[in-house]
Amino acid sequence: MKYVKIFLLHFQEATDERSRMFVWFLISLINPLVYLLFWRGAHTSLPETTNQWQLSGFASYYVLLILAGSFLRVHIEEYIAYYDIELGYLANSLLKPVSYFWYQFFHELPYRLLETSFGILVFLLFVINLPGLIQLTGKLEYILLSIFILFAGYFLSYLLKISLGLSALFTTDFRGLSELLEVTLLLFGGFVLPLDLFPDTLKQFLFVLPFPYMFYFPVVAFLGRLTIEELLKTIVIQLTWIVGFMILYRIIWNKGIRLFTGVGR
Amino acid sequence: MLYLPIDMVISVSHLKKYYRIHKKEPGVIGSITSLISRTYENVRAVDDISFSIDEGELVGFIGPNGAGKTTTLKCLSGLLYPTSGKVSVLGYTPFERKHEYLKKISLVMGQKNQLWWDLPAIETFLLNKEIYEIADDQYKKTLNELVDLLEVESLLKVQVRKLSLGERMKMELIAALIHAPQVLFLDEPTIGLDVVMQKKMRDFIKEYNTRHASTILLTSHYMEDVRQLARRVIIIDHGKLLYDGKLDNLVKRYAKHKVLSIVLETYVSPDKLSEVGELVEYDFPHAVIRVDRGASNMAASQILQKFPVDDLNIEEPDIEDIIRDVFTKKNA
Repeated sequence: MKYVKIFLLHFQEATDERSRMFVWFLISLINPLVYLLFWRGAHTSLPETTNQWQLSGFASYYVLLILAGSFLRVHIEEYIAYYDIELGYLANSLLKPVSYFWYQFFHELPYRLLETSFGILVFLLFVINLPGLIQLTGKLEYILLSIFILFAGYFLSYLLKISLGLSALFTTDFRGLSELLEVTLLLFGGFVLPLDLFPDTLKQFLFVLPFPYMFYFPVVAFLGRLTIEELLKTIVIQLTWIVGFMILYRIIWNKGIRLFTGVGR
Repeated sequence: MLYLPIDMVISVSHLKKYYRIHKKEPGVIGSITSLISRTYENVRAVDDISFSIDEGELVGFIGPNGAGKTTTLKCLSGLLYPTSGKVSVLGYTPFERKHEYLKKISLVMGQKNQLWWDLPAIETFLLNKEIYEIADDQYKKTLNELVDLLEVESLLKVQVRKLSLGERMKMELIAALIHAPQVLFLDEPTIGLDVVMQKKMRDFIKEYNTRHASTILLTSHYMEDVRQLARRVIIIDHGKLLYDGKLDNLVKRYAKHKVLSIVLETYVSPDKLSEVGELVEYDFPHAVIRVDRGASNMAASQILQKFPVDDLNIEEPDIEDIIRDVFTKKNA
């Protein structure tokens, strides 16, 4: 019950901050829209391999990326680094019989859900105004596996961001690391272009990293671009990364918390 | 879980907490040098202190800024890991932060808040009800009692950001006490409050301690807080324990002087008054003379014989002065 209450209170807070959330949503909206416009102009002169995607493929990808960006791009790290660690408010959580990990999980979730509601509106606008442009998978087993991949992607994204936020316990300049990770996520998460379009050798390397499994794979899974085997393989890799990140989180937490002074760094 | 002697709630043995801080020479050269080679220094925030506190005691923990008071409270509440030494509260090792332990204690920091800024305080209380897993009837009973004591019923549904500092502090106290902790650590609970609100807070803490027999460790810069609330004080400075005992004994042990407070009928020159003792203050008709503790009666009779006196009182010196003396002697 305690986590339901935490979720509901943060939901209230999030609805109170709807204008701030809308600004965050614009970030998730604008990037894919710009890339969509770019590909709209460029697709006629694309080489054959790229042409496999076609305009509707790009449109579907970037419109879904708007939704994925709203839901999957967890923004908890700045709050943790600044408010909890720099200002010392982590003390409030440490002194309560509650898990910090799940507290922050249910703190962030309402923000993601409300931002996603903006994304759904944009998605519906596309579907209504440009019928037939957005093509998603319609097979039940594909949809169910894609939903699993979506939530695993969310959990992976959350684990990465909470660990990043807690890294502020060790460093006085959290921002540098944060910016570096943002750029990495933009490139390797599939925000700039579908990773399918990368050269094969680079793709092989990228698909070992965790970043595509947070954003890119959930999107292409819903687009129906993955076979059942590929969907299952994606889930296995996601679960492996989740275990890896859980271990990383535990190490950062156990070591970092010993450095916490309760008044800031 | 450790087992403490009956009645002993807090036990601290040779507690040390050292911080490693980075030191940098000023200017650009200093910055460049620190890029290549950094120098570090160990700060001894708490340096080998030991004490114990029994159930129901209200102890004042005093010392100047940077003395180690807050660090000690943080070690006791489980926020900080000690560098060495043993700490036990209610038989638990605080820094393990077991949930059963956290349900039995509370730390209130005057400069930190736990209330949700954009929501009414009642929402924080309800959240704490869930977090501490308080039964409905117990929650209602405790809340009603605290709300009555602090007279805040009309404020429960007001957004926290709209409350005054004093009102917010009252709400912070309710949030901290809603689970009826057995041990309460209060770090500067009256900081920033006006004198009226300070008194209300003191009255509340006293009443709460009496009603619930909870063990309270209190730090405050306001000696009035300590004087009004604590019979026992622990004084620390530079991380070292200087005194642990009754407040009355502190006065007897460290106050080498008494103060004669006089109201004169007619003007007497300061030189004449200084013959009796050290003239600390003179604003006719009021004069304050400090004399040796053992000679106070004789000095009083001398004043009555030599000067036209309207009123005369023999008083103990201010507790602030005594404590200042303790620190000054220690640092001399």
